Amino acid sequence: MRTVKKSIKQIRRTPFQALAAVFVMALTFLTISVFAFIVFGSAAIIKHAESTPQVTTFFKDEATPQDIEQLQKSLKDTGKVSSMRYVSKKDALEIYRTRIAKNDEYLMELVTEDTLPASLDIYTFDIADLDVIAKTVRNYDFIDDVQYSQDVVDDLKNWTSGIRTIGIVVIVVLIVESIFVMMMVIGFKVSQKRDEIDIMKLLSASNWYIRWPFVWEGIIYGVIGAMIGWIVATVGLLYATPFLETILESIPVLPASPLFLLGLVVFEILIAIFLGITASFLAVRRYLK
Amino acid sequence: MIRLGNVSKKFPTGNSALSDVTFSIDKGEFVFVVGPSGSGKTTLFRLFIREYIPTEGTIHIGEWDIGNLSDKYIPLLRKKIGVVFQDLKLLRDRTILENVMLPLDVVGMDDEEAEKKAIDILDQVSILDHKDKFPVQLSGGELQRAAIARALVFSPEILIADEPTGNLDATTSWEIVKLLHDINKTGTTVIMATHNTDIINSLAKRVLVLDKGKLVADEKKTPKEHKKD
Repeated sequence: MRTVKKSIKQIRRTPFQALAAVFVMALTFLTISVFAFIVFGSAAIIKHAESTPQVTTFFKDEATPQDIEQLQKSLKDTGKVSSMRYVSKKDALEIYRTRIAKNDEYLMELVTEDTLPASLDIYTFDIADLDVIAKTVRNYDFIDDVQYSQDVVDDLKNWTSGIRTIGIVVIVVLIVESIFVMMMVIGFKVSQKRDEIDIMKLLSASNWYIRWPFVWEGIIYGVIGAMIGWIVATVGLLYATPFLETILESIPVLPASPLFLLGLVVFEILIAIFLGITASFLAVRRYLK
Repeated sequence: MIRLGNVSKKFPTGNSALSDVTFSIDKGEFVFVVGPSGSGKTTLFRLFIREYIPTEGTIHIGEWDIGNLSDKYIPLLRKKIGVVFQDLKLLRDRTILENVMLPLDVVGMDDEEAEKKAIDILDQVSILDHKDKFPVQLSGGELQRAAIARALVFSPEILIADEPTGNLDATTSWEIVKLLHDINKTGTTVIMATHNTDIINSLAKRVLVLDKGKLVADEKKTPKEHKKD
Protein backbone atom coordinates (compact mmCIF):
# COMPACT_ATOMS: atom_id res chain seq x y z
CA MET A 1 0.00 0.00 0.00
CA ARG A 2 2.86 2.32 0.89
CA THR A 3 4.45 1.63 -2.49
CA VAL A 4 1.18 2.47 -4.27
CA LYS A 5 1.02 5.78 -2.36
CA LYS A 6 4.56 6.56 -3.52
CA SER A 7 3.56 5.82 -7.12
CA ILE A 8 0.50 8.09 -6.88
CA LYS A 9 2.72 10.85 -5.50
CA GLN A 10 5.15 10.34 -8.40
CA ILE A 11 2.27 10.53 -10.90
CA ARG A 12 0.85 13.72 -9.36
CA ARG A 13 4.21 15.46 -9.64
CA THR A 14 4.30 15.02 -13.44
CA PRO A 15 0.65 15.24 -14.54
CA PHE A 16 1.24 15.88 -18.25
CA GLN A 17 3.51 12.88 -18.70
CA ALA A 18 0.93 10.83 -16.86
CA LEU A 19 -1.78 12.12 -19.22
CA ALA A 20 0.32 11.19 -22.26
CA ALA A 21 0.78 7.66 -20.97
CA VAL A 22 -2.91 7.28 -20.05
CA PHE A 23 -4.10 8.65 -23.42
CA VAL A 24 -1.98 6.31 -25.47
CA MET A 25 -3.16 3.41 -23.32
CA ALA A 26 -6.79 4.54 -23.66
CA LEU A 27 -6.41 4.67 -27.46
CA THR A 28 -4.98 1.15 -27.51
CA PHE A 29 -7.80 -0.24 -25.39
CA LEU A 30 -10.47 1.69 -27.29
CA THR A 31 -9.21 -0.02 -30.46
CA ILE A 32 -9.08 -3.41 -28.73
CA SER A 33 -12.68 -2.92 -27.50
CA VAL A 34 -14.00 -1.85 -30.91
CA PHE A 35 -12.37 -4.80 -32.66
CA ALA A 36 -13.64 -7.12 -29.93
CA PHE A 37 -17.19 -5.86 -30.59
CA ILE A 38 -16.80 -6.39 -34.34
CA VAL A 39 -15.21 -9.83 -34.07
CA PHE A 40 -17.62 -11.17 -31.42
CA GLY A 41 -20.60 -9.51 -33.12
CA SER A 42 -19.84 -11.07 -36.49
CA ALA A 43 -19.19 -14.43 -34.81
CA ALA A 44 -22.70 -14.21 -33.32
CA ILE A 45 -24.16 -13.28 -36.71
CA ILE A 46 -22.38 -16.23 -38.34
CA LYS A 47 -23.65 -18.55 -35.61
CA HIS A 48 -27.19 -17.29 -36.14
CA ALA A 49 -26.93 -17.68 -39.90
CA GLU A 50 -25.54 -21.19 -39.49
CA SER A 51 -28.34 -22.15 -37.15
CA THR A 52 -30.99 -21.06 -39.69
CA PRO A 53 -31.23 -23.88 -42.21
CA GLN A 54 -32.89 -22.01 -45.03
CA VAL A 55 -32.67 -22.02 -48.82
CA THR A 56 -34.44 -19.29 -50.74
CA THR A 57 -35.26 -20.00 -54.39
CA PHE A 58 -36.35 -17.22 -56.70
CA PHE A 59 -38.66 -18.15 -59.57
CA LYS A 60 -38.48 -16.88 -63.09
CA ASP A 61 -41.57 -14.96 -64.23
CA GLU A 62 -42.58 -17.84 -66.52
CA ALA A 63 -42.84 -20.32 -63.62
CA THR A 64 -46.40 -21.62 -63.45
CA PRO A 65 -48.26 -22.50 -60.23
CA GLN A 66 -48.07 -26.15 -61.38
CA ASP A 67 -44.26 -25.93 -61.63
CA ILE A 68 -44.11 -24.54 -58.14
CA GLU A 69 -46.47 -27.15 -56.76
CA GLN A 70 -44.44 -29.91 -58.39
CA LEU A 71 -41.24 -28.55 -56.93
CA GLN A 72 -42.78 -28.39 -53.46
CA LYS A 73 -43.98 -31.97 -53.75
CA SER A 74 -40.62 -33.34 -54.89
CA LEU A 75 -38.85 -31.46 -52.10
CA LYS A 76 -41.24 -32.87 -49.51
CA ASP A 77 -40.56 -36.35 -50.85
CA THR A 78 -36.86 -36.07 -50.06
CA GLY A 79 -37.80 -36.17 -46.34
CA LYS A 80 -35.14 -33.57 -45.60
CA VAL A 81 -37.40 -30.53 -45.66
CA SER A 82 -39.09 -29.46 -42.46
CA SER A 83 -41.23 -26.69 -43.92
CA MET A 84 -41.66 -24.42 -46.92
CA ARG A 85 -43.11 -20.98 -47.38
CA TYR A 86 -44.22 -19.60 -50.70
CA VAL A 87 -43.75 -15.85 -51.14
CA SER A 88 -45.77 -14.57 -54.10
CA LYS A 89 -44.92 -11.41 -56.02
CA LYS A 90 -47.62 -9.68 -54.01
CA ASP A 91 -46.18 -10.89 -50.69
CA ALA A 92 -42.72 -9.81 -51.83
CA LEU A 93 -43.97 -6.33 -52.54
CA GLU A 94 -45.60 -6.20 -49.12
CA ILE A 95 -42.33 -7.25 -47.49
CA TYR A 96 -40.49 -4.62 -49.51
CA ARG A 97 -42.97 -1.95 -48.43
CA THR A 98 -42.92 -2.73 -44.73
CA ARG A 99 -39.30 -3.73 -44.15
CA ILE A 100 -37.28 -1.82 -46.71
CA ALA A 101 -39.21 1.15 -48.07
CA LYS A 102 -40.92 1.67 -44.72
CA ASN A 103 -43.76 3.66 -46.29
CA ASP A 104 -41.33 6.01 -48.01
CA GLU A 105 -43.42 7.05 -51.00
CA TYR A 106 -40.48 7.65 -53.29
CA LEU A 107 -39.00 4.21 -52.59
CA MET A 108 -42.41 2.60 -52.90
CA GLU A 109 -42.98 4.12 -56.32
CA LEU A 110 -39.69 2.67 -57.58
CA VAL A 111 -40.78 -0.93 -57.15
CA THR A 112 -43.93 -2.58 -58.45
CA GLU A 113 -45.28 -6.10 -58.14
CA ASP A 114 -43.71 -7.01 -61.48
CA THR A 115 -40.21 -6.04 -60.43
CA LEU A 116 -40.03 -8.55 -57.61
CA PRO A 117 -39.74 -12.31 -58.12
CA ALA A 118 -41.87 -14.87 -56.36
CA SER A 119 -39.83 -17.14 -54.11
CA LEU A 120 -39.92 -20.24 -51.96
CA ASP A 121 -38.23 -20.41 -48.53
CA ILE A 122 -37.20 -23.99 -47.80
CA TYR A 123 -36.24 -25.03 -44.25
CA THR A 124 -34.38 -28.30 -43.64
CA PHE A 125 -34.13 -30.39 -40.50
CA ASP A 126 -30.37 -30.50 -40.77
CA ILE A 127 -28.06 -27.69 -41.84
CA ALA A 128 -25.88 -30.21 -43.70
CA ASP A 129 -28.73 -30.90 -46.14
CA LEU A 130 -28.89 -27.29 -47.39
CA ASP A 131 -26.22 -27.93 -49.99
CA VAL A 132 -28.05 -30.96 -51.46
CA ILE A 133 -31.39 -29.10 -51.55
CA ALA A 134 -29.78 -26.07 -53.18
CA LYS A 135 -28.21 -28.26 -55.89
CA THR A 136 -31.49 -30.12 -56.51
CA VAL A 137 -33.46 -26.88 -56.87
CA ARG A 138 -30.92 -25.39 -59.27
CA ASN A 139 -31.67 -28.17 -61.78
CA TYR A 140 -35.18 -26.81 -62.46
CA ASP A 141 -35.21 -24.44 -65.47
CA PHE A 142 -37.89 -22.14 -64.01
CA ILE A 143 -35.60 -21.24 -61.11
CA ASP A 144 -33.83 -17.92 -61.49
CA ASP A 145 -31.54 -17.92 -58.43
CA VAL A 146 -30.91 -19.91 -55.28
CA GLN A 147 -29.60 -18.34 -52.07
CA TYR A 148 -28.88 -20.26 -48.94
CA SER A 149 -27.34 -19.31 -45.59
CA GLN A 150 -24.05 -21.08 -46.35
CA ASP A 151 -23.32 -18.37 -48.93
CA VAL A 152 -24.00 -15.69 -46.35
CA VAL A 153 -21.90 -17.55 -43.77
CA ASP A 154 -18.99 -17.88 -46.19
CA ASP A 155 -19.14 -14.20 -47.06
CA LEU A 156 -19.29 -13.23 -43.40
CA LYS A 157 -16.42 -15.55 -42.56
CA ASN A 158 -14.25 -13.96 -45.22
CA TRP A 159 -15.09 -10.47 -43.97
CA THR A 160 -14.52 -11.41 -40.34
CA SER A 161 -11.22 -13.04 -41.10
CA GLY A 162 -10.10 -9.87 -42.93
CA ILE A 163 -11.24 -7.61 -40.10
CA ARG A 164 -9.56 -9.88 -37.55
CA THR A 165 -6.23 -9.72 -39.41
CA ILE A 166 -6.38 -5.93 -39.69
CA GLY A 167 -7.43 -5.73 -36.03
CA ILE A 168 -4.52 -7.87 -34.84
CA VAL A 169 -2.00 -5.81 -36.82
CA VAL A 170 -3.42 -2.48 -35.55
CA ILE A 171 -3.58 -3.75 -31.95
CA VAL A 172 -0.01 -5.10 -32.04
CA VAL A 173 1.26 -1.76 -33.40
CA LEU A 174 -0.66 0.16 -30.72
CA ILE A 175 0.55 -2.16 -27.94
CA VAL A 176 4.17 -1.74 -29.00
CA GLU A 177 3.64 2.03 -29.22
CA SER A 178 2.07 2.20 -25.75
CA ILE A 179 4.92 0.17 -24.27
CA PHE A 180 7.42 2.60 -25.79
CA VAL A 181 5.52 5.70 -24.60
CA MET A 182 5.24 4.27 -21.08
CA MET A 183 8.91 3.30 -21.12
CA MET A 184 9.75 6.87 -22.13
CA VAL A 185 7.57 8.43 -19.40
CA ILE A 186 8.75 6.08 -16.66
CA GLY A 187 12.35 6.11 -17.94
CA PHE A 188 12.36 9.90 -17.71
CA LYS A 189 11.20 9.72 -14.12
CA VAL A 190 13.80 7.10 -13.28
CA SER A 191 16.54 9.30 -14.73
CA GLN A 192 15.24 12.26 -12.70
CA LYS A 193 15.49 10.11 -9.59
CA ARG A 194 18.90 8.70 -10.38
CA ASP A 195 20.55 10.36 -7.37
CA GLU A 196 17.78 9.15 -5.13
CA ILE A 197 18.15 5.61 -6.48
CA ASP A 198 21.92 5.73 -5.84
CA ILE A 199 21.30 6.91 -2.28
CA MET A 200 18.71 4.22 -1.69
CA LYS A 201 21.13 1.57 -2.92
CA LEU A 202 23.80 2.91 -0.54
CA LEU A 203 21.20 2.65 2.21
CA SER A 204 20.83 -1.06 1.51
CA ALA A 205 17.70 -0.88 -0.68
CA SER A 206 17.09 -3.97 -2.75
CA ASN A 207 16.42 -3.63 -6.48
CA TRP A 208 12.78 -4.55 -5.88
CA TYR A 209 12.37 -1.77 -3.31
CA ILE A 210 13.48 0.70 -6.00
CA ARG A 211 11.53 -0.99 -8.79
CA TRP A 212 8.12 -1.37 -7.13
CA PRO A 213 6.91 2.29 -7.22
CA PHE A 214 7.71 2.44 -10.95
CA VAL A 215 6.04 -0.90 -11.61
CA TRP A 216 2.90 0.35 -9.81
CA GLU A 217 3.06 3.54 -11.83
CA GLY A 218 3.01 1.49 -15.04
CA ILE A 219 0.10 -0.60 -13.75
CA ILE A 220 -1.87 2.53 -12.80
CA TYR A 221 -1.38 4.09 -16.26
CA GLY A 222 -2.38 0.83 -17.91
CA VAL A 223 -5.49 0.19 -15.81
CA ILE A 224 -6.79 3.79 -16.07
CA GLY A 225 -6.14 3.74 -19.85
CA ALA A 226 -7.92 0.39 -20.22
CA MET A 227 -10.94 1.63 -18.22
CA ILE A 228 -11.20 4.82 -20.31
CA GLY A 229 -10.86 2.88 -23.59
CA TRP A 230 -13.48 0.36 -22.52
CA ILE A 231 -15.92 3.00 -21.21
CA VAL A 232 -15.69 5.08 -24.42
CA ALA A 233 -16.20 1.99 -26.62
CA THR A 234 -19.08 0.67 -24.48
CA VAL A 235 -20.87 4.03 -24.34
CA GLY A 236 -20.44 4.27 -28.13
CA LEU A 237 -21.87 0.78 -28.58
CA LEU A 238 -24.86 1.46 -26.31
CA TYR A 239 -25.48 4.72 -28.16
CA ALA A 240 -25.36 2.95 -31.54
CA THR A 241 -27.42 -0.06 -30.39
CA PRO A 242 -30.89 1.24 -31.50
CA PHE A 243 -29.51 2.05 -34.97
CA LEU A 244 -27.60 -1.26 -35.29
CA GLU A 245 -30.67 -3.22 -34.17
CA THR A 246 -32.64 -1.91 -37.15
CA ILE A 247 -29.91 -3.15 -39.49
CA LEU A 248 -29.48 -6.53 -37.85
CA GLU A 249 -33.26 -6.99 -37.51
CA SER A 250 -33.99 -10.49 -36.29
CA ILE A 251 -30.38 -11.45 -35.51
CA PRO A 252 -30.13 -11.57 -31.71
CA VAL A 253 -26.70 -9.90 -31.24
CA LEU A 254 -27.75 -6.68 -29.56
CA PRO A 255 -28.03 -5.35 -26.95
CA ALA A 256 -24.57 -6.64 -25.93
CA SER A 257 -24.66 -9.00 -22.98
CA PRO A 258 -23.46 -7.40 -19.71
CA LEU A 259 -21.49 -10.59 -19.05
CA PHE A 260 -19.61 -10.13 -22.33
CA LEU A 261 -18.85 -6.47 -21.50
CA LEU A 262 -17.69 -7.43 -17.99
CA GLY A 263 -15.52 -10.23 -19.38
CA LEU A 264 -14.00 -7.80 -21.87
CA VAL A 265 -13.11 -5.20 -19.23
CA VAL A 266 -11.55 -7.85 -16.98
CA PHE A 267 -9.52 -9.18 -19.91
CA GLU A 268 -8.41 -5.66 -20.86
CA ILE A 269 -7.39 -4.83 -17.29
CA LEU A 270 -5.27 -7.99 -17.16
CA ILE A 271 -3.59 -7.02 -20.44
CA ALA A 272 -3.09 -3.47 -19.09
CA ILE A 273 -1.42 -4.81 -15.94
CA PHE A 274 0.87 -6.95 -18.07
CA LEU A 275 1.75 -3.99 -20.33
CA GLY A 276 2.35 -1.70 -17.33
CA ILE A 277 4.65 -4.20 -15.67
CA THR A 278 6.56 -4.90 -18.89
CA ALA A 279 7.09 -1.21 -19.74
CA SER A 280 8.17 -0.16 -16.25
CA PHE A 281 10.39 -3.20 -15.85
CA LEU A 282 12.20 -2.39 -19.09
CA ALA A 283 12.47 1.31 -18.15
CA VAL A 284 14.00 0.63 -14.72
CA ARG A 285 16.23 -2.25 -15.82
CA ARG A 286 18.91 -0.02 -17.34
CA TYR A 287 19.37 1.91 -14.12
CA LEU A 288 19.59 -1.07 -11.82
CA LYS A 289 22.42 -2.82 -13.63
CA MET B 1 36.46 -5.96 13.78
CA ILE B 2 37.95 -4.56 10.54
CA ARG B 3 41.00 -6.15 8.93
CA LEU B 4 42.63 -5.06 5.70
CA GLY B 5 45.37 -7.20 4.19
CA ASN B 6 47.46 -5.71 1.36
CA VAL B 7 44.47 -3.96 -0.16
CA SER B 8 44.88 -2.21 -3.50
CA LYS B 9 42.24 -0.52 -5.61
CA LYS B 10 42.87 0.33 -9.22
CA PHE B 11 40.21 1.79 -11.52
CA PRO B 12 39.70 0.74 -15.14
CA THR B 13 41.15 4.13 -16.15
CA GLY B 14 44.47 2.97 -14.69
CA ASN B 15 44.35 5.29 -11.65
CA SER B 16 45.47 3.65 -8.45
CA ALA B 17 43.43 4.91 -5.47
CA LEU B 18 44.88 2.58 -2.81
CA SER B 19 48.05 0.59 -2.85
CA ASP B 20 49.00 -2.28 -0.53
CA VAL B 21 47.16 -0.99 2.55
CA THR B 22 47.21 -3.18 5.66
CA PHE B 23 45.75 -2.35 9.08
CA SER B 24 43.09 -3.49 11.51
CA ILE B 25 40.64 -1.65 13.73
CA ASP B 26 39.26 -3.14 16.95
CA LYS B 27 35.68 -3.01 18.09
CA GLY B 28 34.84 0.24 19.87
CA GLU B 29 37.87 2.18 18.58
CA PHE B 30 37.74 5.82 17.44
CA VAL B 31 40.05 6.26 14.47
CA PHE B 32 40.88 9.30 12.38
CA VAL B 33 41.80 8.79 8.75
CA VAL B 34 43.78 11.75 7.46
CA GLY B 35 45.45 12.68 4.22
CA PRO B 36 45.22 15.24 1.46
CA SER B 37 42.48 15.19 -1.16
CA GLY B 38 42.91 12.20 -3.46
CA SER B 39 44.87 10.23 -0.86
CA GLY B 40 42.28 7.41 -0.91
CA LYS B 41 40.15 8.11 2.18
CA THR B 42 36.80 8.01 0.41
CA THR B 43 37.85 4.98 -1.67
CA LEU B 44 38.70 3.18 1.57
CA PHE B 45 35.21 3.87 2.95
CA ARG B 46 33.57 2.78 -0.29
CA LEU B 47 35.47 -0.49 -0.05
CA PHE B 48 34.12 -1.01 3.47
CA ILE B 49 30.49 -0.84 2.29
CA ARG B 50 31.20 -2.87 -0.86
CA GLU B 51 30.44 0.01 -3.18
CA TYR B 52 33.85 -0.93 -4.63
CA ILE B 53 35.57 -4.30 -4.72
CA PRO B 54 39.32 -4.39 -3.97
CA THR B 55 41.55 -5.14 -6.96
CA GLU B 56 43.96 -6.98 -4.67
CA GLY B 57 44.07 -7.99 -1.02
CA THR B 58 41.36 -8.84 1.49
CA ILE B 59 38.96 -6.86 3.65
CA HIS B 60 37.22 -8.51 6.59
CA ILE B 61 34.43 -6.86 8.54
CA GLY B 62 33.76 -9.17 11.47
CA GLU B 63 33.56 -12.62 9.90
CA TRP B 64 32.68 -11.38 6.43
CA ASP B 65 35.17 -11.36 3.57
CA ILE B 66 33.94 -8.22 1.82
CA GLY B 67 35.67 -8.85 -1.52
CA ASN B 68 33.88 -12.19 -1.89
CA LEU B 69 30.61 -11.23 -0.24
CA SER B 70 27.53 -12.42 -2.09
CA ASP B 71 25.30 -9.59 -3.35
CA LYS B 72 22.43 -10.73 -1.14
CA TYR B 73 24.47 -9.88 1.99
CA ILE B 74 25.24 -6.30 0.88
CA PRO B 75 22.04 -4.86 2.45
CA LEU B 76 22.98 -6.59 5.72
CA LEU B 77 26.53 -5.23 5.53
CA ARG B 78 25.19 -1.72 4.99
CA LYS B 79 23.01 -2.06 8.08
CA LYS B 80 26.10 -3.01 10.06
CA ILE B 81 27.98 0.06 8.83
CA GLY B 82 26.40 3.50 9.11
CA VAL B 83 27.88 6.08 6.73
CA VAL B 84 27.87 9.86 6.87
CA PHE B 85 28.78 10.68 3.29
CA GLN B 86 31.03 13.60 2.42
CA ASP B 87 28.21 15.15 0.35
CA LEU B 88 25.67 13.95 2.95
CA LYS B 89 23.36 12.44 0.30
CA LEU B 90 20.20 13.74 1.92
CA LEU B 91 17.15 13.75 -0.38
CA ARG B 92 16.23 17.38 -1.08
CA ASP B 93 12.53 16.77 -1.63
CA ARG B 94 12.01 14.97 1.69
CA THR B 95 11.85 16.37 5.19
CA ILE B 96 14.57 15.61 7.71
CA LEU B 97 12.28 13.11 9.41
CA GLU B 98 11.54 11.39 6.08
CA ASN B 99 15.27 11.30 5.27
CA VAL B 100 16.04 9.62 8.57
CA MET B 101 13.13 7.21 8.10
CA LEU B 102 14.31 6.24 4.61
CA PRO B 103 16.65 3.37 5.59
CA LEU B 104 13.89 1.98 7.85
CA ASP B 105 11.38 2.24 5.01
CA VAL B 106 13.87 0.43 2.77
CA VAL B 107 13.85 -2.58 5.11
CA GLY B 108 10.05 -2.51 5.26
CA MET B 109 9.60 -1.25 8.81
CA ASP B 110 6.07 -0.17 9.70
CA ASP B 111 5.61 3.64 9.27
CA GLU B 112 4.60 4.27 12.86
CA GLU B 113 7.50 2.31 14.30
CA ALA B 114 9.95 3.90 11.85
CA GLU B 115 8.76 7.39 12.78
CA LYS B 116 9.13 6.66 16.48
CA LYS B 117 12.67 5.37 15.96
CA ALA B 118 13.63 8.31 13.70
CA ILE B 119 12.28 10.81 16.26
CA ASP B 120 14.33 9.16 19.05
CA ILE B 121 17.49 9.46 16.97
CA LEU B 122 16.79 13.06 15.89
CA ASP B 123 16.38 13.86 19.56
CA GLN B 124 19.68 12.10 20.30
CA VAL B 125 21.51 14.30 17.78
CA SER B 126 19.60 17.42 18.98
CA ILE B 127 17.74 18.40 15.79
CA LEU B 128 14.28 17.15 16.66
CA ASP B 129 12.93 20.70 16.28
CA HIS B 130 13.87 20.59 12.59
CA LYS B 131 12.23 17.27 11.78
CA ASP B 132 9.63 18.76 9.43
CA LYS B 133 12.06 21.03 7.58
CA PHE B 134 13.63 20.28 4.23
CA PRO B 135 17.44 20.00 3.91
CA VAL B 136 17.65 23.40 2.18
CA GLN B 137 16.25 25.06 5.33
CA LEU B 138 19.02 23.73 7.63
CA SER B 139 22.52 25.02 8.44
CA GLY B 140 25.67 23.02 7.67
CA GLY B 141 25.97 21.70 11.21
CA GLU B 142 22.32 20.71 11.36
CA LEU B 143 22.62 18.89 8.03
CA GLN B 144 25.62 16.95 9.40
CA ARG B 145 23.54 15.97 12.41
CA ALA B 146 20.70 14.86 10.14
CA ALA B 147 23.12 12.73 8.11
CA ILE B 148 24.55 11.27 11.33
CA ALA B 149 21.02 10.51 12.54
CA ARG B 150 20.26 8.65 9.32
CA ALA B 151 23.52 6.70 9.64
CA LEU B 152 22.55 5.67 13.18
CA VAL B 153 19.01 4.37 12.58
CA PHE B 154 20.08 0.72 12.44
CA SER B 155 22.29 1.13 15.56
CA PRO B 156 25.31 0.12 13.42
CA GLU B 157 28.41 -1.52 14.85
CA ILE B 158 30.58 0.80 12.78
CA LEU B 159 29.99 4.48 11.95
CA ILE B 160 31.99 6.01 9.13
CA ALA B 161 32.01 9.81 8.80
CA ASP B 162 33.67 11.17 5.67
CA GLU B 163 34.94 14.67 6.46
CA PRO B 164 31.90 15.63 8.55
CA THR B 165 33.54 18.91 9.59
CA GLY B 166 34.71 19.86 6.10
CA ASN B 167 32.53 22.92 5.59
CA LEU B 168 31.81 23.88 9.18
CA ASP B 169 33.08 26.64 11.43
CA ALA B 170 35.28 25.70 14.39
CA THR B 171 32.51 25.71 17.01
CA THR B 172 30.12 23.63 14.95
CA SER B 173 32.96 21.26 14.00
CA TRP B 174 33.65 20.63 17.67
CA GLU B 175 29.99 19.99 18.33
CA ILE B 176 29.95 17.34 15.61
CA VAL B 177 33.15 15.72 16.89
CA LYS B 178 31.70 15.68 20.39
CA LEU B 179 28.57 13.99 19.04
CA LEU B 180 30.68 11.33 17.27
CA HIS B 181 32.71 10.90 20.44
CA ASP B 182 29.53 10.32 22.44
CA ILE B 183 28.37 7.75 19.87
CA ASN B 184 31.75 6.02 20.20
CA LYS B 185 31.32 5.87 23.99
CA THR B 186 28.19 3.73 23.50
CA GLY B 187 30.44 1.06 21.93
CA THR B 188 30.12 1.96 18.24
CA THR B 189 33.38 1.88 16.28
CA VAL B 190 33.83 5.34 14.72
CA ILE B 191 36.06 6.03 11.71
CA MET B 192 36.29 9.67 10.77
CA ALA B 193 38.09 11.21 7.83
CA THR B 194 39.24 14.77 8.39
CA HIS B 195 41.70 17.47 7.37
CA ASN B 196 41.25 19.32 10.63
CA THR B 197 44.58 19.05 12.51
CA ASP B 198 43.22 20.92 15.53
CA ILE B 199 40.66 18.22 16.12
CA ILE B 200 43.17 15.40 15.58
CA ASN B 201 45.71 16.96 17.88
CA SER B 202 43.23 17.71 20.62
CA LEU B 203 41.92 14.16 20.91
CA ALA B 204 44.13 11.30 21.99
CA LYS B 205 42.98 8.93 19.27
CA ARG B 206 44.50 6.61 16.71
CA VAL B 207 45.36 8.27 13.39
CA LEU B 208 45.80 6.51 10.06
CA VAL B 209 47.65 8.70 7.57
CA LEU B 210 47.13 8.07 3.87
CA ASP B 211 49.15 9.66 1.12
CA LYS B 212 48.77 8.91 -2.60
CA GLY B 213 46.91 5.71 -1.73
CA LYS B 214 49.52 4.38 0.68
CA LEU B 215 49.26 4.05 4.45
CA VAL B 216 52.22 6.16 5.56
CA ALA B 217 51.58 6.28 9.31
CA ASP B 218 49.46 4.49 11.89
CA GLU B 219 49.89 6.17 15.23
CA LYS B 220 48.07 6.77 18.45
CA LYS B 221 48.23 10.31 19.71
CA THR B 222 48.77 10.73 23.45
CA PRO B 223 48.26 13.95 25.38
CA LYS B 224 52.08 14.13 25.71
CA GLU B 225 52.59 13.84 21.96
CA HIS B 226 49.84 16.29 21.55
CA LYS B 227 51.87 18.83 23.56
CA LYS B 228 54.95 18.08 21.43
CA ASP B 229 52.90 18.67 18.24
